[in-house]
Amino acid sequence: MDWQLAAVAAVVVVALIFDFVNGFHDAANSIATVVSTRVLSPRVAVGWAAFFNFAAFLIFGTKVASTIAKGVVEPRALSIGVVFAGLIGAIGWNLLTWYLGLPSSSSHALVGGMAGAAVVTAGWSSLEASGLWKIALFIIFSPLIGLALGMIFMLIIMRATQRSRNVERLNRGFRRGQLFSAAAFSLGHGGNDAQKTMGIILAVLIATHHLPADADVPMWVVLGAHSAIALGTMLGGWRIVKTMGSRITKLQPVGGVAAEGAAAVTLFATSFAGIPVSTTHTITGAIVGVGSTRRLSAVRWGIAGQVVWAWILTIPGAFVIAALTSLLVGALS
Amino acid sequence: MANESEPHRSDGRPPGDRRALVFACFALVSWALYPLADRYDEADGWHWGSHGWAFVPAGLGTVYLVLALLSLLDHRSRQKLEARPLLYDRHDRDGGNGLDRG
Repeated sequence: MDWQLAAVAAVVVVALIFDFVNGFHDAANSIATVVSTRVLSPRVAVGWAAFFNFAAFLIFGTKVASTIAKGVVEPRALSIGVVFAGLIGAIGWNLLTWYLGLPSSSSHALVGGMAGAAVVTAGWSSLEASGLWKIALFIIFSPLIGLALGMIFMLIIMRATQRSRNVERLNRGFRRGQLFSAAAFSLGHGGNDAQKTMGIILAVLIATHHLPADADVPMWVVLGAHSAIALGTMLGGWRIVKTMGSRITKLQPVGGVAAEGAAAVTLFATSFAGIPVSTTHTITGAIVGVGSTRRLSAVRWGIAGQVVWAWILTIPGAFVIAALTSLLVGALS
Repeated sequence: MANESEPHRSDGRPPGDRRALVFACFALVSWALYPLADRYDEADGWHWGSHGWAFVPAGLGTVYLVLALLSLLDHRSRQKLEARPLLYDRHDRDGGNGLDRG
């Protein structure tokens, strides 16, 4: 038996499990507003989001996958063990924050996990400074962009509808509009997040010389990653939905349209630019932006603060779990 | 910008415009990141201020500054409204139904 091939297959399976957990943990954000405003029942909403998560492969390229495969850890330091330990770190952190009901970022857990495993195996010099710097900057920028766009979209909508007297009709229109904004956000989520798993699988295939260093993502990897995230969404994480949809600020259908539209625009732009960002950060920023058009006290800052702490701790948390896994695997082998 | 009035302090005066302050802070954070958002090139070292992703913090900082100014204007106009209520509001206070403006 070819043990290397078996190990590669095992890592691919673990990567797809990570993608599934990502869907379970993060993709519920796609439907948080549409469920909290009661436009769709939870059951229909998860099916809707899962479909668009999967359909994203038709629209977005694989630039984010390339950033994850080649922009976090130097190719020379990549091995099956590093990718495996990195994945364990990311999955471990995701499950911990899911249990605590905190919307942390699967994306940054993955980056932290890969970095932790690479540092233990090949030292600090194995990290790609330029790629990590870009990802770190957009940890700050993505919620700020989401917040600004959420507020601007909401102001435009308020301005455009201020003379309308038929509130019932307006509300019906925005409830229908939320179907489109939720679909757009799910597309953006599938486009950005599924690519991270593609990046991991691409990295392990390059590391084991099953593909050349300049290879693009094979179609079976693209379809596998989108299927896994869509399946995860179908089985959704309702604890996170509760936090995002109702605890940060109370949303009406009009706010849901503005928040999801703003987050979708941010995710589309970053996916086309090849920047892995957190869908959780982006939608949280957009929801806060929409809430801020009423007044700052409409936003429950205590909950938003918990979310920020989860963001700050994500990369170090996944880094430590991956580093410990790497040490454990090293001691056992 | 806002449809609801801010809660009042115990002395009855409306609070300062915290939203404008928060947005101004976001603008400062964005601009502070401007020099760090440039391309990092292994061969050439750091480049400052003219390329890479620097347009993101520059644009974002400007947007937040505009939002802070709009928020400040919104706050002032609401303060003026509270100080000098509209005719129908005064009519309401005097016991009218608010519709008779003649």
